[in-house]
Amino acid sequence: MEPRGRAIAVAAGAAVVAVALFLVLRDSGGSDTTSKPVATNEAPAKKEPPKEKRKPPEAGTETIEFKNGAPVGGVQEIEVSSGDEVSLRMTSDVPADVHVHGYELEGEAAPGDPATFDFRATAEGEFEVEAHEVTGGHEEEGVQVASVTVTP
Amino acid sequence: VISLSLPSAHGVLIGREDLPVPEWLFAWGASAVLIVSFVVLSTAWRSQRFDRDNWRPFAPALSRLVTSRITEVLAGAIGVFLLGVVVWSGLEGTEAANLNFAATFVFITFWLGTVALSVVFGDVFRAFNPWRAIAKAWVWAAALAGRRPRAPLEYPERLGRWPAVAGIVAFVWFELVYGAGAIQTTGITPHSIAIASIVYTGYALGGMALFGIDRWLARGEAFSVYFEMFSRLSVFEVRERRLGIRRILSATTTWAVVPGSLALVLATIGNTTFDGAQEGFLGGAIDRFANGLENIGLDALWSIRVSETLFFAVTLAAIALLYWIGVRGMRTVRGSPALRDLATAFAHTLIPIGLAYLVAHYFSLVFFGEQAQVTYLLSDPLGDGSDLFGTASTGIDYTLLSATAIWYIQVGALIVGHVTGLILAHDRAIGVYGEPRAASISQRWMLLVMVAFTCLGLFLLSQSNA
Repeated sequence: MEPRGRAIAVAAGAAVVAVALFLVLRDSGGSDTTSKPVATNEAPAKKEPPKEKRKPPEAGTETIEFKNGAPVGGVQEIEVSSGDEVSLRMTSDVPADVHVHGYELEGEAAPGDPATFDFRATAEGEFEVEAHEVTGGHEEEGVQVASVTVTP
Repeated sequence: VISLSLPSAHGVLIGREDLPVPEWLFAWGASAVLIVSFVVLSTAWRSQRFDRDNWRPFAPALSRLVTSRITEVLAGAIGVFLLGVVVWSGLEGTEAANLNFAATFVFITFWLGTVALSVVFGDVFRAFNPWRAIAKAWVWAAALAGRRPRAPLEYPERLGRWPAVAGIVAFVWFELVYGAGAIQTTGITPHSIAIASIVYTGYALGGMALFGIDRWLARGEAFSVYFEMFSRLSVFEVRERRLGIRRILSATTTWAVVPGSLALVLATIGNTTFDGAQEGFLGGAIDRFANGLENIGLDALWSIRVSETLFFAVTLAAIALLYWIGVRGMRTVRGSPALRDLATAFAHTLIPIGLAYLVAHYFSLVFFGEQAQVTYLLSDPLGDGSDLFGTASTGIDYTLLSATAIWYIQVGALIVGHVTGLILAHDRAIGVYGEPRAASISQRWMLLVMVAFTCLGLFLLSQSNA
């Protein structure tokens, strides 16, 4: 009985230590995802957007070019953090309807008249952006042009 | 050249994919697995605990409510009605899978939701099974006409649950491989779901006509056999029309004695593994092989289907091999029974792992997919703009679950499944080896198998859509 009792005590101790370590080290371990606290107390720092590295060109607008029925350069992978303001723009060489899944946004693009979306990334996950060519007044089969990945 | 990389069937249904589990959580999950493993090993109990079920009936009034003829007829009618709605919406509705009742109902509500219900409430599918209801109604009608239909054939018991294994693998093949081009007009369409439902109805009813209703439900009707396996984890059980409660996990211990049971639980794990792997680390290989097939003249869609079929088979074989290695190792312990008996003896310990894999991979899909099911897909089953219950314009609220919450549920499910599997394995080892020392040596091998399965599960989660 006694060695068994000791083994349980050791195991339970190990479990407690592991949980404690986990709680202490969790945030430093996840250094690449520390945006969570930033997102919750963003109220004071409203004027200057803190994420400078993510948005180099065109004042933070992600641009997709839809040409010959496909996105130029393949499906565009767009990554943002939860709570970010997202700006999407799709140019097209034909009339097309664009749909951002999950956020249920719909827009229309035409040659010289891109579709634009401005929204706040509130839902987390990977969401599909789909374009449908419009011919003769009705939508063709959808083509994925981008994925929007919203990380915590 | 078109890219063969296509979004997964599930992503198409709800327009969202889970984020891969981050590295730090992967590492902590794996460490937790090792720690809890040693906790289980160090608390080694010395006599079997789960071999007696201690089933006790509830008060007769409660039993009557659940098992009365009226309840049975009502539940059966609901099942038949839903099967009818699937076929009707599949044939008549829009071919956009995400806007048609049929796809979400079959692949999310039925296939995944029934597993959850079975684990919590017991073998509920038996009551709602539309094929059983149709067959029972037929027998009842024949009795009114003064005839007693009898099964012309004796079910060959050697076959055991193998027909159900084939059925489950075929279902997943249909979902993941045939539906590989699951976007709009290629792959799975609501129309093909309706056709498959009609074909399967023929299979289920035909089997019952040949071998008898109960025999076929217990052996060949794939969904009955599959959901019944998960219901063994539940504490509720109906015996001779009386509802009762049994010791948790006890019903799993007698499950695997029928031939084909081991194959069924391994296939369950293999199915989920393949779905995770094809979106993750196998995706590139599947694409390259499919491209090769396309270069030798196969058309694009069938190239990817043939390629996926091959990798699906390899995945199933790899899962079986992993288990076999563990059993082979256990066999080296003195006093072990024959290899085949040993493999069967521990098969039931994989049921919790199979469940954990399902929860880890599909929890968020069910959570979001059911919101679609009970709102717009209910009000507008055909996707033609109707609004039967006024919920056609209500959508899925994707902000209800954060990515972090989903990660914790995924990793937590794997750890709980792992511990449950270990507990069952330890309990069985005491029965098989009798003597505690040999039992605990044999469990080092089972521990290896369980850790491998759980870490594979974690790895798949960290890989998906990567």
